[in-house]
Amino acid sequence: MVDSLMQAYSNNPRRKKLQILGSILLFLVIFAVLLVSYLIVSSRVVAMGRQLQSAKDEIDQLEYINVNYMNEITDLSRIEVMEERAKELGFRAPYPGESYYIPVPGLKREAVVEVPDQSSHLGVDVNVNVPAYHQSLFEWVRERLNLFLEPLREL
Amino acid sequence: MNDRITFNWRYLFVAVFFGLFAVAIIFQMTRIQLTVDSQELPVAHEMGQWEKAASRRGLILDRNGHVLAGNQTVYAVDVDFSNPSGRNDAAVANTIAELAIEIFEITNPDMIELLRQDPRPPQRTITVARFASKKQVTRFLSAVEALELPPGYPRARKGDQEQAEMSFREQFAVEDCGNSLRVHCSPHLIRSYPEEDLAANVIGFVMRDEKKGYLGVEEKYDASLFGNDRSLWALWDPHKADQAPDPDHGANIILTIDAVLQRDVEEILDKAMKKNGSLAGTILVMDPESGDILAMASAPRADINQYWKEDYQPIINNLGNVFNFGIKAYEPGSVVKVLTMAAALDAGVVEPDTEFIDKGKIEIGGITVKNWNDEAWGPQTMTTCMQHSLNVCLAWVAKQLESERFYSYFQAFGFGQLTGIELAGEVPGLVKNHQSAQFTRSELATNAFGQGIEITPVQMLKAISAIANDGEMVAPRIIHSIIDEGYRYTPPKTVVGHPISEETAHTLTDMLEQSLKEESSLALVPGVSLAGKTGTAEIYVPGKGYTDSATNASFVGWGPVEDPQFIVYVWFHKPATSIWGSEIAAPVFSKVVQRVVIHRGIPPDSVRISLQEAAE
Repeated sequence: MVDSLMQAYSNNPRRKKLQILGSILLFLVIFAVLLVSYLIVSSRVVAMGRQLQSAKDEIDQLEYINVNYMNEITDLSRIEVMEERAKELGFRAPYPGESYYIPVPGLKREAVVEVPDQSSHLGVDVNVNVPAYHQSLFEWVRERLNLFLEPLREL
Repeated sequence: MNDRITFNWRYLFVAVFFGLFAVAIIFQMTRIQLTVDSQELPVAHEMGQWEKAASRRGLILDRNGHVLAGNQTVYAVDVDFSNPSGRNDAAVANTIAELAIEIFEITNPDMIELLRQDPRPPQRTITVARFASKKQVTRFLSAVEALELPPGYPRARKGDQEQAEMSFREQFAVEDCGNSLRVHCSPHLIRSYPEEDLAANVIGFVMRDEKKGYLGVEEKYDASLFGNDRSLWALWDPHKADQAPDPDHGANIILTIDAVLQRDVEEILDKAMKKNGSLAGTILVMDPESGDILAMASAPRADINQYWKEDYQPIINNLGNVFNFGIKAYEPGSVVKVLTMAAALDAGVVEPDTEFIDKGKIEIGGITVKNWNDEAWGPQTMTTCMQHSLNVCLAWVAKQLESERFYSYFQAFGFGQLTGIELAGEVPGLVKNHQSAQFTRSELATNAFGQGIEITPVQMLKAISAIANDGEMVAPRIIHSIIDEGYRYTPPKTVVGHPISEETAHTLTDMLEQSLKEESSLALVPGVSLAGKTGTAEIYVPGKGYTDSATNASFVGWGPVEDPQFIVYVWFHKPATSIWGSEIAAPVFSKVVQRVVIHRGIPPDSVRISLQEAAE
């Protein structure tokens, strides 16, 4: 009796149609969520890409300005300019007889002048070649799918 | 039953609604496909533009970090001479053309003709300057902005209203004149040499158009210095933003040169040449322990910022290897006697006190060798032979050595071979030996006192380093370090052999120190013990042979003799006031040493010895 009631309940045509409609709606909702997710991710990638493009342009602009400033500094520290400034301050080049040498016990003069490696502090190693920067979500899904299916294909 | 019918109607309603929506979408898609030519639609993955990253050419610095070669931002300036307002504004265009000629100092007649052409050619844009400085561009833009343009003539690009409200200088700093309608500037980098002709012979130069290094370090290390500024197709697609070119800066190079010492040495060289009327000259200073070239002056030099000037063409074209006399081969004369004597002492053929009776001439290989004053000097020792620079004595010494040993020593000293100094254009010189074709025995005699061979000043420094450095010969080097992408590479010193023993090196140094003192040489410096040798070489004139009216005057010396810290080589080509190395080159050597001891912090012998004794 209970079985026949349950069968009648589940086989009710109205219930069956509701199930179909519910499945379709569920599919639509999931599909819409996926689309919205893709849209959000894609728009974020695009925004980041734009930022990257403008950052690169800015780097170039700053590089040109930087070179100009470096050039100005170099011009100001030219040997001729420095000598002129030294002369204005009352200095002049020494003659051999004018130098006084004071022995300092324990002080050893380096034979070769060591140039500090300044540029080692400037380099920043950042990997900008992240796939997410240049891969759409579909490309990423396809890539993952291929990775997953590849062993199966070999079988 | 009724419920069932109502329910179906609702389904139908939803189906019709979605169906109509789908039809509308399909209709729109079809309409687009039919009305727009798909060929004309831009292809997303091809849309982009050529872009060039601001890549710097690597700097060239001296050993103390002073910039010898840097970069400068310049601008290619394009002026649009079209008539955007549709009015007759030829007067404005003419005024702008005249401004360009004046401010960019255009001297090319073709360009001037193009700018003044009336009526103007159909082309819209003319590049009025390719290497304009910031100052020139600012002046030009200010002048263009100040022009009284016809009414309605737009000053700024459409959509740039915000930028137009910024001050002109702000726009220039940020946009580089991008807001001016008529003028477009594109920045790019070129090489600049802030110290102008300082060490120009060492550095070389970079051609502005080709961006390629020529001569010196610029050519030798062109691949390392080159900042990769190639143009790449940069896509507008933000997904491909990482494919736009990144700046790829060249490596920085630190030279062994001390810029301040280099300047002092160049000044001494220039003044000496003015005084003695030489046509050319070179002075080299080397640390014998490491092989570091501390100064390499050569004259005449060119201001490499303006290498295209006509006055500099003989130097820049480098015909006859005149760009850098430090690596040019020549017949050095008596300075080679140092090495002949080193070979003889090392081989045990002679000793410092070996007696030689100088009869004023000696016959070897069918030729008669005479002394510089054609006189006989009588009984001599090897030390006095060196002191008086006797050709007859040294030819006899070479004869005692015999060809095979003599030339094997010369080979061991590196004659006829490149030293490996990191400069483009180095030549190996020319030294025959007893196995060479057309070798005559007379050449053994003449080679012994530096005639009939061609060697470079750098080769002499390398050979002399064996004597100044206890028999250990080091390769001269001009590169101290290379810094690339945060890493520094410092090549180690290169020992290239031990052509003579330590004992020979000390003996010869003592002999040459003594001979300098005995002759009261003009090369001496009070307080600093020095060893050295003069050289006067007659110059071979085709058709006339060797003539003493034109000579190469040289001097090579090192010090302090007990702990050599420098070797100085001086060479003057065709001096006018005197032909002798002892009168022309020796006093210049003394002046250079006076500067070297100050720059290198080398105390006088008395202080140095007392310090050594205190340390012991």
